[in-house]
Amino acid sequence: MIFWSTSVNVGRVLNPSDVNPSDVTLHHLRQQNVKAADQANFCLSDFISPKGGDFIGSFAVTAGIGIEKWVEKFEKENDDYSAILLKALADRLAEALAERMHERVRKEFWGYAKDENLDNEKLVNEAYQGIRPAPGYPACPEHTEKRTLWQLLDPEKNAGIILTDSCAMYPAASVSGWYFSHPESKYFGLGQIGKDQVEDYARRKGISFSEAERWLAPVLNYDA
Amino acid sequence: MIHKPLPSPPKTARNRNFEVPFIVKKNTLQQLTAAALDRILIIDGSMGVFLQSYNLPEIDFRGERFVEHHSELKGNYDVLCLTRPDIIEDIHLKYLDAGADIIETNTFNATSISQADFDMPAGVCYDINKAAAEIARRAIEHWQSNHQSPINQSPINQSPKFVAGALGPLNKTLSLSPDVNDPGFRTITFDEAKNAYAEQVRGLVDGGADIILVETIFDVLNCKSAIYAIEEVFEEKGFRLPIVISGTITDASGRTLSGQTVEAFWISVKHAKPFAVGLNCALGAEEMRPHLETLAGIADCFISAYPNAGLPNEFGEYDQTAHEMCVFMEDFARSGFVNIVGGCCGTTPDHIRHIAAHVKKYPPRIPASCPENAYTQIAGLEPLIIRPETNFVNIGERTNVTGSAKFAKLIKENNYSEALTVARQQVDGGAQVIDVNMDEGLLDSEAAMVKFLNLMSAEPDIAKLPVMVDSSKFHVIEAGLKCLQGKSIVNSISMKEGEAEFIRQANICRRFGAAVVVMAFDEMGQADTIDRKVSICQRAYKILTEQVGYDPTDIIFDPNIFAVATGIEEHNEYAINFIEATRIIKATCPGAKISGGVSNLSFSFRGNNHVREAMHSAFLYHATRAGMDMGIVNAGMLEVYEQIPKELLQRIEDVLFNRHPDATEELVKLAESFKETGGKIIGEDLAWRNGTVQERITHALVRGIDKYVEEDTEEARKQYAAPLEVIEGPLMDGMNVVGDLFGSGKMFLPQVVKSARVMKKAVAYLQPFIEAEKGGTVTAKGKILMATVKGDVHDIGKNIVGVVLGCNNYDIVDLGVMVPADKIIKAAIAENVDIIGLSGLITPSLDEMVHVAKEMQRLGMKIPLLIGGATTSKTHTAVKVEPQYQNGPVVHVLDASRSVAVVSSLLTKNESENDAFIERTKVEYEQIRIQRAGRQSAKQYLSLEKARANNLTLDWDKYTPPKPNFTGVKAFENYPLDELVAYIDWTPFFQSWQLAGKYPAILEDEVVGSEAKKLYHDAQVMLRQIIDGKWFEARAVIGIFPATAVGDDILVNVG
Repeated sequence: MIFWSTSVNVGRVLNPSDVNPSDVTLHHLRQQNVKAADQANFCLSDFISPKGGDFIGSFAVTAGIGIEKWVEKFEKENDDYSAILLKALADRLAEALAERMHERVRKEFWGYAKDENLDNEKLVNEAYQGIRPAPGYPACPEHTEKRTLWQLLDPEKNAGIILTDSCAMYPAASVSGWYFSHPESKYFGLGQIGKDQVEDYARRKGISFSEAERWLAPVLNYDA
Repeated sequence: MIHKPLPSPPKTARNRNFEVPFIVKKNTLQQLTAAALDRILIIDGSMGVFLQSYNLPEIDFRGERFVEHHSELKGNYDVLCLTRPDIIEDIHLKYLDAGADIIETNTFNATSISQADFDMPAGVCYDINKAAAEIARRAIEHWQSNHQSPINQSPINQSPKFVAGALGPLNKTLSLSPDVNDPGFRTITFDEAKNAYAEQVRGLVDGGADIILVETIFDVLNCKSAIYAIEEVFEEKGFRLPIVISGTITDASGRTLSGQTVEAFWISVKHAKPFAVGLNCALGAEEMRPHLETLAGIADCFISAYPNAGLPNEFGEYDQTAHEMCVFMEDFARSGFVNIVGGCCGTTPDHIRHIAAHVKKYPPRIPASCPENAYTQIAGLEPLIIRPETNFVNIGERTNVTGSAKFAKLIKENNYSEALTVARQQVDGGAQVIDVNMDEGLLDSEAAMVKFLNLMSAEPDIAKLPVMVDSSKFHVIEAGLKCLQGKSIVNSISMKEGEAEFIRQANICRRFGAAVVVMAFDEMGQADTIDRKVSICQRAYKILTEQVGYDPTDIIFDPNIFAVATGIEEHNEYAINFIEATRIIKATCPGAKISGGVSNLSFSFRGNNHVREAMHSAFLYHATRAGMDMGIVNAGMLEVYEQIPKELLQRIEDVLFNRHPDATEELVKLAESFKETGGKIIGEDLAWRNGTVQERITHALVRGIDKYVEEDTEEARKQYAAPLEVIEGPLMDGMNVVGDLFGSGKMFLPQVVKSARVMKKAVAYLQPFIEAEKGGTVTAKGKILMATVKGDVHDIGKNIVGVVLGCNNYDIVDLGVMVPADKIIKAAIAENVDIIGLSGLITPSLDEMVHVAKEMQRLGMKIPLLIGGATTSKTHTAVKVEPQYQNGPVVHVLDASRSVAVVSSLLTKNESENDAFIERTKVEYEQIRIQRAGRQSAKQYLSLEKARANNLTLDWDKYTPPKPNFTGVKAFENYPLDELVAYIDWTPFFQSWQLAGKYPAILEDEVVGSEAKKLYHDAQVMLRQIIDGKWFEARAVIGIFPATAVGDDILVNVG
């Protein structure tokens, strides 16, 4: 393992094959509702080139390492207000870190938007090029894709973020997702999908149909 | 009665230091006044638009003189005065024929600034203006000689005709920036405008103009530079001409382009003592009417009105005919609004002829005897009139580098936008005037003053207020006045450097139309005794009113407020001296106002804001009764006199009135105890401590104040037989008030949670006593188990619900997060809870909740099950959870506020209420299930194959994916939290506390704004603690990899 001694701000570069030796496949879902004439049925893979030469990014950030003892302290003092406030702030800081990291990726690490200069309001309104969809959110609502992300980045080791059985992240104040750079990449809602896609998805992921159904329960257009 | 009598000439005519003697040339003023009193006078119509219809070729504009000119002159209608004077004279004759009494010179753009568009050589403007006036004079002479027939002696033909030398508005604005991104930027300076106007006025006067007309004013600061120029030229020439000032209202809002209202406009220009004031251009007569009515009601001179021929059509042409227009003009005359009428753009001699015919039967308007003109009037974009019944006028003091370290820092750092918020805060705090001071050694005071005032002018919510330009250096004051279109106040001038300099400065201020603050300061120093204060102010009053020609209502005396309670005996009378001097000055200097810098008074108590504000309040209470009209204060921080704690007030007044030698010492001693108290209003803070113990406990709970709760709880404990009774009695009563307020929407979640904190502290205090008694537990209304289900970690919402229910006297058993079903059920049975509440944020938690429901059914439980959390929904609960648990009710709860009602209905002892609720819910969920079943077939979906065929096809052939600067994985530890603060999105933060609204607007929201502000403040404090104390760590890991899309998958290459 090669550790390049850099300042904290530049990040510690890890040997990718030490993190994860093998190629991985991300499985995405496609909208199936009937769209208007000039509208496509989106899938996140549409934003990556099928011809090769393209790239995808990934991230996992947290702002809650070490929060427990402060929560405990407030609870012991019967101070619910401060305990709740603390957790809410940790959530906000995690989201802020996701925002900042995304900006640095666009400007420094990937560097496709070197001259970008957006203020907080514009960032909140997503005025930048590219998106950072998170598994569990409308564009990719299936949570187990986080396991693939964990394979790629090993956030447990590298950032102290654990994935529970239900694919929730611990500490709670954590955010993870993908980086797409294409200028036409945008957020969309998957909407509901049919049995045919559930079957196809199960096959691609190598899991049973019923397990796929379970994880896709909220987006099924039929009653499982 | 009708027109102000001319002031008598000054006694020392040789002294040229002060204002020009009111000697008028050629009886013009008498003639004009007589004519205006006799009938409504007619002014001519459009010149420029008329000239356009001649379609003159380029050579006509060049003539001989400009044959060589390097750029096109076509369209420069003013130059025709030099090159085609015959055409201009011809037009004048046509208007004279139509009945005009006053003809305007063709000089609308004849200033060096407007002529710069045509790149004209220097000095040309003087020639144009002189020629223009001469042409008009010639036209009148020719016309009168042609109409001198003794037979045809109609009144119109006999009466004198007048030449009005016209000053246009310039094509550049002094008050506005043309660059929306740089509101402080200006394209010209006051001096440049004034000099250009002065050249113009010289030409017009030398050419024989009878009147100087400043027209089409859309920026009143431009007009003020014109007035200044006119005064300068009159002084040069040694005589005056009557002035007419005509403003332009540009839209329905009734304001000029630069934002002033009609009243503010009048107040800002009346120092020119115009013969007439009025409106012209932009609007047609009909649209102009209401604004004209306003002006006619307040101006004590004559009124002029010459609107456009209606509003322009889509081609920019004017359609209103002479017949149509004269109807409206007749209405003006009939209503008594006007003394001079005519037309502007789009009008022709025909229009004027019709107007003249229709108004001649009406008597002229009588100038308003408006009482307001006897009061002190100042203005920003809006007027401020200090009437006898007006209470104390607050002059905001915070935009002052000598008085506010915060403001000084911002200015020194060049952070003007933040500095503007200080001004805005003063406006919000109730300031009626803004005092701006930039006197600091390290600052270029003049530049800073100009920059800040220009930026302030661009903010309508600040600029609506009049400005007090504050500096000890007169050149800074002058520079400031050159930026302000309103009638401002100069702070200050004095006789410190002798009478001559005082008069010189006063004259300049008068030229700007500013009111002046005169300090009680003369050649011998600052006045500290009553006699000195009075005598200096009386002397200044005499000089200003008799020699400089100041209107007494524009004079404001500052008899000096000095610090008291300094420990120096000589200072003990300072407050009394000010108050008494005020009384005398008001009585002997009618019309003048009294002001003072209030903060000076409490200088000895710097750092102790409570005592300072109380002192100011007490002082002002007495000073305003003695006649103090206004003062420089921290608007928003003033106390209410009646609410000052009695003991403090007593000691303060002892000091103010020097009642006994130990007064200072006593106040200083008492002041110590006020340093600790939190909160702004002293009275409110402590008064509640005088209530009964129940009142105090309730107050503490409602306000979330935990400081005294233990001592109050102890006091209560002594009054009740058992400590439990304290909880069930006064504490619960207090919490019920909280619950009611929350339920009725008068209190919000963050406050409720703070109340809970106080409650818990009280209960914790009683705990050892309860245990010692070994008797009983509090009979809560019920016991509820809360848990975030297995695999899920989120609990903020759950915790809030717990707190809210706890406030409503339910016991909460909280098992935390990631709790498996069996643990939930085991605990529920062991603790004998009445309700189980499950929370979940992530999708799989829905399944987990279904599982818990199944287990509850299997194990024969009967208690209600509550479902909540971001991932849950009523639909899911109805369709998936409820069918699994038949023994007891299953209810979805949307949020913390709704939880109380649901729990209350489920646990109420009132059987019928309980049954009704359960039944209602069951029925509702059944309906949801039915609807969903029916709905299945309705929505349309594509097969996966068809959906794939309709994928988004981006042009991959033409697209080169940007190559990343690195591929692989990077990890970050200890990411600096400081760096993240600027990236925080606050809107979801407020949402999690159930305060609806977008940040930052939510802070000003009518309903939740103050709660949001408090919460935000607490968040900022804790954020600081988190960062400074390194409470927790942020980490990140990112990766960028080569990738290829394969169908709906993405293949990621690691190697």
